[in-house]
Amino acid sequence: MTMDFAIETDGLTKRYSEHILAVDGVTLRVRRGEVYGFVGPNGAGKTTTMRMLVGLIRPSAGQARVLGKPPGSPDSLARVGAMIEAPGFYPFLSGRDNLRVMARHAGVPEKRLDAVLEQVGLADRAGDPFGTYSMGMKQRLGLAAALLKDPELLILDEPTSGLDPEGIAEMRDFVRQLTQGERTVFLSSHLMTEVEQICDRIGIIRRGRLVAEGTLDELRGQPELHLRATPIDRARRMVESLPYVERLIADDGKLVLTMDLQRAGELNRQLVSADVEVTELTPARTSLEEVYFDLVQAEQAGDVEGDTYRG
Amino acid sequence: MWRGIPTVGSLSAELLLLRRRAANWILLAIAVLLTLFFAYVLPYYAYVSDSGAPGFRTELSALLPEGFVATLASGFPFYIGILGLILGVLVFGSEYGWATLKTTLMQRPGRIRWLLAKLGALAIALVVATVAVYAAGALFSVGVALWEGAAISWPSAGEILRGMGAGWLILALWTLLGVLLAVLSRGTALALGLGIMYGLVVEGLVSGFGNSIALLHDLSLAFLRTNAYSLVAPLTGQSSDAGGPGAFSGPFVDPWQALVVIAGYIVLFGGISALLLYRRDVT
Repeated sequence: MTMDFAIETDGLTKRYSEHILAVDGVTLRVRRGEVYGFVGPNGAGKTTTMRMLVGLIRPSAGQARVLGKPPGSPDSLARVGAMIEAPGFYPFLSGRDNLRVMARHAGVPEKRLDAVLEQVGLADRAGDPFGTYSMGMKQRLGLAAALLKDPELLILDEPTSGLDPEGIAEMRDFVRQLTQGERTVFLSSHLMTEVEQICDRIGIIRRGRLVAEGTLDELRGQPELHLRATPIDRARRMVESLPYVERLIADDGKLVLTMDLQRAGELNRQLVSADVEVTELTPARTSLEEVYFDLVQAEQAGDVEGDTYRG
Repeated sequence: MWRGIPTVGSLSAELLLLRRRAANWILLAIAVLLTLFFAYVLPYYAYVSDSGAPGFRTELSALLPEGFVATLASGFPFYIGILGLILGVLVFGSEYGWATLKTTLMQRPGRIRWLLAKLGALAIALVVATVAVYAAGALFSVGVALWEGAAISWPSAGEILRGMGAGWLILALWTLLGVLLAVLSRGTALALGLGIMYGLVVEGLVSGFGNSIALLHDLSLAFLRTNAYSLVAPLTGQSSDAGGPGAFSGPFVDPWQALVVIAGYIVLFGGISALLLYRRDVT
């Protein structure tokens, strides 16, 4: 395991019982300074993996290194900030005093309190008891606690979970700000669009297994061209004869072409000269959500059984 | 440096938590009020009205400053101890209920260091509670002396320190039982129910049957109440059923044996709690 990675896991597994395998041999690498999105449906194993990375849960098998140290060790946690699921705080203490307790445990000077409260926009309500906070404020305090140590690595588990649309947008902005600079962020979510907007690389976990990993472009694969033309049969024959078209799929009255998009103009000219009326020629990119569902279908069909698809 | 040694920061964090939680102050107030009620108000009423049942006649000397250590010490094995159990459960059980254990452990301290910081803060809090109970009792006894026109003479400093030491140790014993139950059940409700039932019902009933069943008699020699009452017996002069509220009808063991057993229980309860906390997942 090398120092280039903020997080490295090798066959990380958590089995709760004979019948409950929460995480199944996850091997992933999160590079220093990148924003890594960890996506998958509820119950896929995202939170369990994250809990193992901060030492709350011990793996049943496999190993992990977090910033080059064993997960959960004081040396590792000193440089890691984490918010796992809904943040837990003392309801009888104010937001500020809750952070004070955390800062004392972390060995962080209390002058950091004002900075992080300001950063998450809670300075005005910092003196109020935590028990009176809205869900959004609780999440923000959780984020403040994660930022107390000005960590090199930030582990955020579903930071927008339970928030209303306004809160989701607000939290997304916070997270986007936090991803600026040198900090590594390991972010889990089941909201694909959220991850698509923020992350450099993405890992998709399903039923405890990492089924795909790569950059967004790698996972999406090559961009496609959607072609609608009349007559469609002639267009199809024409396109099939073109050497630069790598793949052609007929889909619901249109043709989906995999090819170099730089040659779209050339394609159009050739179709027109072959007396084909082109009514639509648009580039299309697969969304992360579509990639995810394609993978699910492929997995169910047995295409990616036992392997992680690396885009 | 050994990783189990709690930092000053962790200890001060836990002291802050204890200080700011209203429930802890309420428990202390209840401990003081129950002590004054059972150790002074009721006995004094029995004394002035001469209405005490046989075995519950109060000597005035027990209510004066000269007897305040003996009078107060007998409360620790029973109701003050149960309040200690509740404190232990609340302090540890709530960490699971509020999910603050997870938040705290992610900050850095390490599980054993966190546990020791919490126990250290509790140990300090129990000193405060013990001093508060003795101070309130001493003050009340002065009031009784002034009211009755009796002379004010105090027990020796050694006796006062022994009384406070025994009180603190007994409180620590019950508190650690509460800690263990809270860690075991990962919450407060079940731990409180089990702890109070054990303290108030199980030990009492088994001790009662111990008079007629030898095996239960032997078993009751290992009970918390047996050893706690035996520890304070040299101070209270009680070695048989004295009657009255909270009275203990035995059996008694040698006070030094009781001291060793109580210390052993404290180490055992703390050790099992540490082991559970260290080994189990925080979910």
